[in-house]
Formats: sequence, C-alpha cells, structure tokens
Amino acid sequence: MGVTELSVSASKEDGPGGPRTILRLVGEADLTTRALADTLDAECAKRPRLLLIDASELSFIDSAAIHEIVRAHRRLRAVGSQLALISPSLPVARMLELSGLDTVIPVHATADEAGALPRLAVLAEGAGLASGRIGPA
Amino acid sequence: MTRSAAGRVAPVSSASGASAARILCDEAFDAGSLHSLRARVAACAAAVGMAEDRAMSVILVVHELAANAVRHGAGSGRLLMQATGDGLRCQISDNGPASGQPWPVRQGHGLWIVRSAVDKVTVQSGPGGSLVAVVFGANAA
Repeated sequence: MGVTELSVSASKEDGPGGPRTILRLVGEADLTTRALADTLDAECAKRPRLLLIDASELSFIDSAAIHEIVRAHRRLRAVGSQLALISPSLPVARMLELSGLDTVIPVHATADEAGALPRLAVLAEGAGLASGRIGPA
Repeated sequence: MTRSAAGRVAPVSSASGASAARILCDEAFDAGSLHSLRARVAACAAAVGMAEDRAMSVILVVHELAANAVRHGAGSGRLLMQATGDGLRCQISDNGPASGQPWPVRQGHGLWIVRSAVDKVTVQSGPGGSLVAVVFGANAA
C-alpha cells in the first residue's frame, strides 16, 4: 500500500489548569494527509482554551505537517488560546530539531505538564525570540 | 542520460560517485507512493547496516525532496540510492515543468531541513527538470 495513513481523534477533558482538547495523531503525517489540516481547522474554530497535540504515536512527520501545526499555533495565539505538542515520538522530536521549530512550538512531556504550567509556553516562545530562531510569519 | 521504464529521461549526475557506487534503489515515485518510498528507503538503509537514528534522517530527507518534486516539480520523480564507501548517496530527480524559481531555503521548510541533515547537497535545475543529490557520510546527523 503506497498511501500515507493517519488517524486523528479529538477529545475534550478537564485538566489541572482547566478544560483542554487533546488531539491524538496515529500513523504518519505528511503533505498528503488532509485529515491533519482539516482537523486542526475544525478544532481551532472551536477556540479551545488549550489544544494539546499528542504526537507519541506518529512514526513519521514531514515539514508540511509540522507547518500545519505551526499555523494552528499562530491561529490560536491570535485569539488568546494555547497549543502545545505533548510526548513527541523520536521522528517528531527529530523534525522539531532539524527544522528549528523546537523553539516555536511549545513541547511538553505530558498533558498535565502542559496544562499545569501555562507559563512554560510563554517562556519557550520568549527563549525562541531571544535566540532569533523564530520562523517566518 | 538513461531512460526509465516509463520512457522519461532520467538525468544522471556527472558528479563523482554517481556511476561507480552500488545501486540500492532506483525507483519512480508520485504523490500516491510517498509512503512506500519511505518504506523502501528504510529497507535500503537497514540493508547497509545504518543505525536507526541516521536512517530516520535519510528517510526524512528523501521524503522532503520527493515531496518537493511532487508539489513543485513534475508531480512525480525518481530516486536513485547508492552505497558509498562510508554512507549513502541519494539522487532525486524530476522532469519538470521547471517553475524557473530556485527552491527557497526558508527556516523550517524542506530544503532547510535537508541541509541540516546531510553532509553535502547539490541542486541542478533547468528546463528539463531538477536533480538534487545528497550525501550522507560519516559526519551526517
């Protein structure tokens, strides 16, 4: 089978800091997987307080998919919401590192860590600005 | 120049290393087969005993270049993967249509990532299409 397969599921739950939406990605995310962009659009439109993307079960991610996540991050920030990646798999961590986006998108080990310490997201962005590694707008 | 089974001309780089090294993979791809292309690259990297984290970089780099060919080039292309003395050489080519614009190197995007991960990258682009060759040697990430 030559086609990239990605499954995306969203669930809303209560966390230490308040309600949060968890988007779970399973499989591979690349420029052909419309499900990611479509689901991010749909979830951003709901203006969640906090959108967490569980990237632990992504066995592959490319620059197109990571940029869908960056776009969603910007959309949410613009309306005072937050987005973070949680539990990135090795391929996701490698992509964040190679692309320099590890200082643009907040990354946490767990959902609770992301929710309980909202200021970490602000600090991560501040560090990115200071080091001059923020990507193009 | 060599002709692929589909009858298209596949440019072969005249740069050193293109002809003498052992061919591991010589395969066409398009938008619908990027997934199986990645699996093929993974298999070839494993076959030459490459460590998993390095193989991950090779898979990503080949994908980014193939994705560029799919999105901005002819919509399809060819991968030629060869074993060199201490690593791999991957050549991704497509037959145009050339947009006339060089691939932009913007932080976080495809070619930026490629340059971060490989030892050497050369890009040739013209009316007949594009050819990118990358080398993963002893020093690659």
